[in-house]
Amino acid sequence: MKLSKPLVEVRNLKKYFPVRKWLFRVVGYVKAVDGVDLDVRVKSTHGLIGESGCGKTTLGRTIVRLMEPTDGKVFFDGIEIMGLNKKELRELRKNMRIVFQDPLSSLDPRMCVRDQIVEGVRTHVRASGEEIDEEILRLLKLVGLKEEHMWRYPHELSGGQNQRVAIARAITLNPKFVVLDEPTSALDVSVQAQILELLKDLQDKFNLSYLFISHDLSVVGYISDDISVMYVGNIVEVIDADRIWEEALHPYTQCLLSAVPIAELDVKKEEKIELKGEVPSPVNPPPGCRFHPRCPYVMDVCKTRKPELVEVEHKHLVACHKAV
Amino acid sequence: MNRLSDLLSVRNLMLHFVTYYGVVKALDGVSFDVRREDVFGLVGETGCGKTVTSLTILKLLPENAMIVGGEIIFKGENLLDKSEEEMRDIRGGKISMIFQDPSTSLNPLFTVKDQLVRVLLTHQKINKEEAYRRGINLLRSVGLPDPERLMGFYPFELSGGMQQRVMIAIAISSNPDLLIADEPTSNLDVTIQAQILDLIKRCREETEASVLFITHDFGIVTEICNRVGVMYAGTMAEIAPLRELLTDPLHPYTKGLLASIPTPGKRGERLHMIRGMVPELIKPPSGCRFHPRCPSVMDVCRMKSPPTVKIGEEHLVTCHLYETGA
Repeated sequence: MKLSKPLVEVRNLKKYFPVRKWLFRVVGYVKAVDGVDLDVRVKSTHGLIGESGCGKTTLGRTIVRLMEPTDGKVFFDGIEIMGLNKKELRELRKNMRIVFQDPLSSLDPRMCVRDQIVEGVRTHVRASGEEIDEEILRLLKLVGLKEEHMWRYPHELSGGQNQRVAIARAITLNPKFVVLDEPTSALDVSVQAQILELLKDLQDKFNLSYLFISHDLSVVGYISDDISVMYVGNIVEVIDADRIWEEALHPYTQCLLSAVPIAELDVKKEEKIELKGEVPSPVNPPPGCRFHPRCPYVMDVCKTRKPELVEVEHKHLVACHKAV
Repeated sequence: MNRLSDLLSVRNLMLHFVTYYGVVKALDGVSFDVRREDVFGLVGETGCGKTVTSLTILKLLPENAMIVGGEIIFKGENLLDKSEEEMRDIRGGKISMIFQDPSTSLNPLFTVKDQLVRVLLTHQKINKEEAYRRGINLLRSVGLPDPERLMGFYPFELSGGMQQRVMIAIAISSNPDLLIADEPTSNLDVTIQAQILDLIKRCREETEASVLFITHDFGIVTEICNRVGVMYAGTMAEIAPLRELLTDPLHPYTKGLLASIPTPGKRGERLHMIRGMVPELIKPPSGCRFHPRCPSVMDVCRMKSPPTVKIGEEHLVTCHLYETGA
């Protein structure tokens, strides 16, 4: 069996944001991430897909502990990272990096490309200026930039080039795991293709594992090995990317699949399932299954009991009363 | 040479922007036709001039824009000759537009009722009560629940999808002949996007308007359009019926673009990459604007702008490769 063991294991992760009234009184919680389990296998890409506001970005940031979770555990290579102190965490950060959605806002506008990357290197290793320059040149070449770009500022580069800089910054110090938070959604298709190919090449070269967060099913379906579908703070389905188009079981996944416009003629699409209504607020999520007010197959049990993620087949988990 | 079936015909449109850094040659001889009951898709990447084309049709250009040449024939009349007053009747009357971001194109200070009723009063000879009644019907027809209550809402009280529905209600309020939709779904989630696309399709069938649909997403084009024009750096690279464009693209740019879209069928394959970057339009490349990135570039491409060649019934391609005798 070529099932590689997970590099990152997320167990029952929760992140609630308090809703305050009059500055202090907490009147409720935004349950952005509400009990999520997720595994990212070594040298694989785990796609996380969901609509805006479903908590996918919060989940990504909580996993690398850019946000403190409300509850739950995250194991990285067997180490529980939620219990680490600052110093240990900083040591571990070498191995866990993140690339954000909009490169123009995640890069410092007042730093040239070299300084953006150097900052990361300096935090973790001691090296002379020459060594650093050499290393940066190597990184820039890896992501398809040239020496001349070293002294440019973000406003002098295009969106695609800026995203390359952000990727270069993420892969300094040879990380094992990179969270990619919508890395291509601000880019044009032709540039998106370049960045996706770059990410695949880097994965092969350095045995990276990715958590690829996106709202675009065609991109996630193209690049991922496994896909998790998220809806209002919960994972509703985990499935092999090869099988998602044919074998997805959760009604929400099926709705998503039927809603995605695909640039291919005569794609065998299931009957279009019109999804009624809008995503519910995570402050007051519906009781029972969170999808039930919009679900075309809703049953009585859905309104009262929350479905658990259950393995229906090998490597295929679904949280739905009807599918199980 | 206008065929009767053409509702809108843009001929050789040239547009420059005068900026501090120089003259940006934003459109360089763009031609296309939108026929009656067409959904014509205008596709291209950021900065290729698709939005500018639509703004030129409505003459909503900023002050530093200069229309250098060309004509825009709408129902037999050249819009470029129209006075500002005549244009005001056409905008929102015969041609209406759905903008990209409804949260910025609806006025945040006015309620839905104010904005919807005002458009109705401007373009139709009806009194306020009648306008209100029609407004309610319009909101209902775009699938908004409880329209009486919604009338009193401000835009911020609506979700993105609902705002876009209000925009569509305003746009179809005067039964326009042409509806220009400029990336109407790019800020919306896929499930909401599917709803809005269905709504636009339905509105088109009911009002018998033609649609000029501007987008960067070939998936949406496949979903909604019947003819497509592909733009590159201010030029029209290729125009073809949807099916023909997807199965048999001719222009090297269209080929590259289609091959670079990730689709479920391409899993495991490498995506095609168009080398290089979109050129600066202050100093566009000589000859064909695509030549520095073109895989099948020839000497002539560097020197001469390519001619538009007609292949088959309705397939137009602007490329030296298809010149007769080449």
